[in-house]
Amino acid sequence: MLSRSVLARANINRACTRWASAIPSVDVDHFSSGWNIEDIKNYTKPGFYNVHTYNKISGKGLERFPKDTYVVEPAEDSSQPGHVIMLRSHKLKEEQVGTTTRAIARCGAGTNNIPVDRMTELGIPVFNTPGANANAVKELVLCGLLLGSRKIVDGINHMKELGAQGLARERVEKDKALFGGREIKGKTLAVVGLGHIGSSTARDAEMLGMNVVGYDPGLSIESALKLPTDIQLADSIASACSQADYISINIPYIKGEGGTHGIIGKDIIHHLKPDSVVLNFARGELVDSEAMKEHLDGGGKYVCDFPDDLLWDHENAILLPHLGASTEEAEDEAAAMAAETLREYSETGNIRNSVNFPTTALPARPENTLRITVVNKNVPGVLAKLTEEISKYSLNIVQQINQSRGTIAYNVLDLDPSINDGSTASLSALQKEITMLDGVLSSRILFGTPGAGYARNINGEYHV
Amino acid sequence: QIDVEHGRGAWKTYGDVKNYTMGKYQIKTFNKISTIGLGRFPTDEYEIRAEDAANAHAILLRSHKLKEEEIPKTCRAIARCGAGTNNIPVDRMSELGIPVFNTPGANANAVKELAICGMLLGSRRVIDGINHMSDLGKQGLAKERVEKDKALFGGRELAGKTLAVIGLGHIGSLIAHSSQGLGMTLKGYDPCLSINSALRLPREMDLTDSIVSAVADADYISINIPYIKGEGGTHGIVGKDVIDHFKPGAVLLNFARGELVDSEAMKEFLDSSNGRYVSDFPEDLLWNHENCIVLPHLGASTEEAEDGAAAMAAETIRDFLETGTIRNSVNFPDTSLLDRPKDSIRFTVVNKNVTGMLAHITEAFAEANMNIIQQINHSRGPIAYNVLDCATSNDDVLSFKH
Repeated sequence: MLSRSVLARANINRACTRWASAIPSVDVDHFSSGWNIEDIKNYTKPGFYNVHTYNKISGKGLERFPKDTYVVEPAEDSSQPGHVIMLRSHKLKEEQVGTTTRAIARCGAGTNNIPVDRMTELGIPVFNTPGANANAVKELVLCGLLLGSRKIVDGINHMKELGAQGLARERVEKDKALFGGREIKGKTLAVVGLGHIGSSTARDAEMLGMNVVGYDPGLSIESALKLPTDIQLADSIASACSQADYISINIPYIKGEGGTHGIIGKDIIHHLKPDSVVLNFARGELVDSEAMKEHLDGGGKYVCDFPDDLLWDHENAILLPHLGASTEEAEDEAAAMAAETLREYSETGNIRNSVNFPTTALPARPENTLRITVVNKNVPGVLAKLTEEISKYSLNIVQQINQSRGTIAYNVLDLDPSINDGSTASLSALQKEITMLDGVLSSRILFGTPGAGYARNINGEYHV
Repeated sequence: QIDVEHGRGAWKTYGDVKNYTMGKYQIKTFNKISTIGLGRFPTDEYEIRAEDAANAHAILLRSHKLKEEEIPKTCRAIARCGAGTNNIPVDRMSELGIPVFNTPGANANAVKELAICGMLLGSRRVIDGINHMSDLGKQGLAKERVEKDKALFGGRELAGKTLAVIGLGHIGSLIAHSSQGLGMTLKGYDPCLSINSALRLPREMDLTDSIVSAVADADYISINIPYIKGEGGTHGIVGKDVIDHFKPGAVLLNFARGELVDSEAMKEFLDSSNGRYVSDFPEDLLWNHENCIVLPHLGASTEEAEDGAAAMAAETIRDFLETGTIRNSVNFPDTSLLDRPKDSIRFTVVNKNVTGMLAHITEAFAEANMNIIQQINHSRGPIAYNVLDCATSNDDVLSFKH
């Protein structure tokens, strides 16, 4: 997890809530006389933002795109170039990301199905919807907690078999002894990862009478405020899990070195109580199946909503389909959140909930100004060249912001186009100059025709 | 301390107190009773037998269907580890003057946890999904198909939905509390809500004046009332007239008794909308319906409930056998006389609740020249119960005839 200022994020979230109801639609008439832009008429043709979707996205969420400025279509059905992409768990391939694509939003938390690093190289922000699915996942975790406590699945299937033989009534009391178990009340739950889902799970577990111990090396203040009052915080996964009767894994899957692949492996599993129940509603790859098999052979249980090639058949493993976010409410919420995020990026250039771009919020564009955004590689000197270029066109910068994150930097600038020195400026010329600066990846002019004004510098070639 | 042997074999007429040596109470068990619970009987005073208990003083059982011929003549109490006593011929026991005890609340948390699981199982097609993953696994197609097929098993969340709880005793109130904790809005109905039960309810619960008005706006309905046979009872109480008022798509949870729900009416409901019926009782008509989930009767099948119920039942029997106190009885009145004073003998008398009995009983004691120090008399339905402590003097010969 990359660190970012929690309070800044909280402020932006609050501001964005206000934005959600007041995003200015790009008004082709928002200039008044006094702008000396010679090619202004080129920017005033009617148009639409084209939203391309993969997977079935909730209609309620898609309603957040105003119909007069956005066209939403499944990618495979569309004949128009896509400006932004919205998807759920479709595995996105680079060829599906065209030159006109300026943003990708995932309705969900994990972005393992998107080649994020490559998108960063291309200067395309990838957004997700943290927290939108949290309640849905939490409820499934609770279901898993209970399914792992009595042999409920086996019992239900047994009742079906008895039913087929007409023996249900005769055998129900006798056979039920095969399927009993224990209660969760009074037991200890370890929650590894205390973000939206983990903290919510911890609260409900406490409500149900469990003792809760948690571990999260990156615990934010925002998350800490959501934790149950009596939670104990451990200083390692192993120490959290060693006391636990139930363990819930709620951390992101990060590939590569220093990542979380197989983080629940041999060394952790050896610390588990023999009959403990491990719940994995985060990502299958977080658990080392070989090590888990040993745990299951010894009487432990594993409840997971990801497929497992080794354990699918084990009597102590319960594998659900990936249903963590499969509720109407989560689908609506995630789609709505993704839609708002894309609208904000498209219409104001502000960024929030991005997994690769820095959170960026410039205050509302003042009247009679022109907003442009620039994406560049995070190398020294680009900002200087950018501002120099703009000044050559006699455009005053009224306000601007620059943020960086890892290899990428992002700029939002509001320009005053009322040039006073008698000269005029050509927006298209300005955009080309800016975009072809060394290190710049793309730029957008947030003015005029929806969807237009996006230019890219792809390996020294100008695309607009 | 005067100990009177509670004899084995045929009834005896008690003679000289000094001749009697202390024996052990005999407890006969049916079903496997938790050893932690049985541990509540001190081994120097009680012996516990599953078989060869012809002279049992009390019976302890779980869901065994008790037949009259299985009850020895020496048996003076029956305790059920559980709430419902449908497996015991209670009315006949009242006729014979034998109190039947249960363990209200001992299983409540176990049933509640299963009901919450049931609510979640009725919200997304979890069981169908698990079985589907198993099928895919056999074909080696799990990873390939999981994202595509999951759309068949999605559903909805509990948060923000309305739950109606019918019956607000130990179990109903626990379900209400936990559901509220999960973000649900509560409605409830209970025509016999006691003060103790009311105190256990969450404050933000909307109490209605009929089952129908409780279920009308509910997305989930939980039935938590006892099964009472016969006229004015609760057989099929969730029938057509109630079910006709369900929201389409509502989920009915029955972790109380199968007979409370009219299966025919339920079938119509399940056929007509995406509603669900989740129960831990067998269902002859609906066991195979795609919208019906039948669990084995696991409501109380946890170590904790088995231990708790057995312990509660054991304590109840001990109190009855050792002090004559009655609590948690389904047919006898709650009765508790203060500690027996030193040098007194405690008698208990069970009689039919007809006029004049108390006078006859106390007269018998007077004729036997026994002074009653304290006594209590309580009745319930056809049965009355008396506890009397009588003073003794050292050399009295006691005889008691009726």
